[in-house]
Amino acid sequence: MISISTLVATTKSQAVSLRRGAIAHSSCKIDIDLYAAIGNCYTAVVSRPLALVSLGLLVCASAFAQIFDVELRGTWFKRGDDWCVRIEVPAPRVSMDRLRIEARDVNTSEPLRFHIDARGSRRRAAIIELRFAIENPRDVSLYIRGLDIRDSSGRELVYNPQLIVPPPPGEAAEYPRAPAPGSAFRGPAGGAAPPEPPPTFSGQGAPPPVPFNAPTITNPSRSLAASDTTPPPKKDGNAQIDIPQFPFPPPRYSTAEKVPRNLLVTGNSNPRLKDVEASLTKAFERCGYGDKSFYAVPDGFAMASRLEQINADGTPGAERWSLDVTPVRRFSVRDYLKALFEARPGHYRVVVFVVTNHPFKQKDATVKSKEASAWVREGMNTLPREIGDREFSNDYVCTALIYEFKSVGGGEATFVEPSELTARDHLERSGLLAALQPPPM
Amino acid sequence: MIRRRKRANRPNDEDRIDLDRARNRLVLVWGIGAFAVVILVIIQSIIGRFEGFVQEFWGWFTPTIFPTLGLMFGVLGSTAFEDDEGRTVKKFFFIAAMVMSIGYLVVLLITLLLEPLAGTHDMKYFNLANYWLAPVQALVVAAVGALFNSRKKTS
Repeated sequence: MISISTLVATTKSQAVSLRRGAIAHSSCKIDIDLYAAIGNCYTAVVSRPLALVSLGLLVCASAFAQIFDVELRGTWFKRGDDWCVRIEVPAPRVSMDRLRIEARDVNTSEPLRFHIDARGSRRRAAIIELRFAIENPRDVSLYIRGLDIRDSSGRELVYNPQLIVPPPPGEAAEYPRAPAPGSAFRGPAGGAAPPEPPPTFSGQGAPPPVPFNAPTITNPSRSLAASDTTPPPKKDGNAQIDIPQFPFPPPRYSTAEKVPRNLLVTGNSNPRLKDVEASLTKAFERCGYGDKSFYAVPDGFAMASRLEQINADGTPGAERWSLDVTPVRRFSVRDYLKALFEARPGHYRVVVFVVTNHPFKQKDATVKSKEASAWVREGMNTLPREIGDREFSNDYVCTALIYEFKSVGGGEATFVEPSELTARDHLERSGLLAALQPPPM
Repeated sequence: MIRRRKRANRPNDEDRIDLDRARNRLVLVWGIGAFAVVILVIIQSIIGRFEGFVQEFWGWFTPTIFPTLGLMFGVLGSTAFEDDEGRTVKKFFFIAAMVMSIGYLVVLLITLLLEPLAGTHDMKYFNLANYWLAPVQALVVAAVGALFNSRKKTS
């Protein structure tokens, strides 16, 4: 039985014995009377009501105070015919893998539709650009979640997710603007500083592309709304759909394979992305992939499959959509002994087709199986028309990304890199490659 | 009727068994059972059946066997130098402990052997098995403990 009051810590060297305030040297042990220590603290605090009141105030103040390491900055600017908001995150290391943004009109509290036009970094700040489907800029309240901001030493920084961006002077929407609390621009100083004017560019009325450093940029000249290969976007509801973004460049994949163009569009002289989507969807259906999900990538789309259980050779597992490893269903002595003495890891796979005309390399980040399995339910159920109507020009490439996971011991499945199979093996054994083949004439 | 009378009238010593003999039999049963189970588990571990969760598995498996074995060997060791001649224990306890021990070891072995056929697998399955192994083990330990501590000096 160990008594707290006689907690003894032994040291190799000379030790000190503390007992009721007395400090005495003894041989090789520190003897701390905790009761005495607690009693002393209790007396010191309780006998001083002022100290208690101060402590209470301190606790209340710390509870109500919101201290942020990073304040986001936002500015309106115009790109082509559309109004955009540029969000600047002044931090050296920003991850946007789980970025989620909600936008509301401050005056009407109505949600505003937008899509993320670009992500990247400039100098020591990360940049996010949102393209809004509105005629005039206005006070917009942004709620930004999912940013992972760290300083140069890797310490996670707390940021203010709420950002209110006022319109540039003279460009406000026509409705009477009621002064909203906290509607002032929140600059780095936290005061009501005027917003940064949109950057001006020589030779053009519209802002030129922002010189991002990261390869994640969407070149504005090739953006969804301003592409030279597609007709100008219609100003209807479908033209400005808020579609979830697939991480781009994509996180590390187990293996990848370029899908031949002739498998995606056959006999179509002017193919569009929706034709590619139709081919992929048909192949998915033929192979039994019930669920799929669409995401936007720069100038294209990504289509993610559901997480499926596979055998070690890449063929679909007996219980394909179950996350549990399949037990021995048909009893045979050989299978039983194999299952009894050999490890039975679970193999899982997610196939993502990325169709874009932007070359990419994999990002130095891995996905967890839970994240990959969430892809199928967090994307769009269909490909938005504004993406589908884009021309599938020769510079477009469809890449099949294979994300493979393996679980042992009933724990969470971990990412497999590299896969023991090639992407072609995966596509062949899942049946997708055969399903993409055009029917014989 | 005759048999009942005979049983009722038989000497009291017939209801008891020599303590050393009872202990030795129990230790023999536990030794054989534990040997079979431990060898199976060792082979599985060497071949790689528990790849990725060896530590968790042995953390689960060790308390299923070794505390009871430890109890037995502890008592045997402590009484090794004593003269236990004439000490007896009730036969009922001995039989009960023997049946429960055999039952427990069989259940443990079956638990390990049926894992490939189970709906859950790996540590999920073994943790599930605690639901039936733990109560049985508690009864076995109680019975073995009672047996190893019960004694009667015959006059």
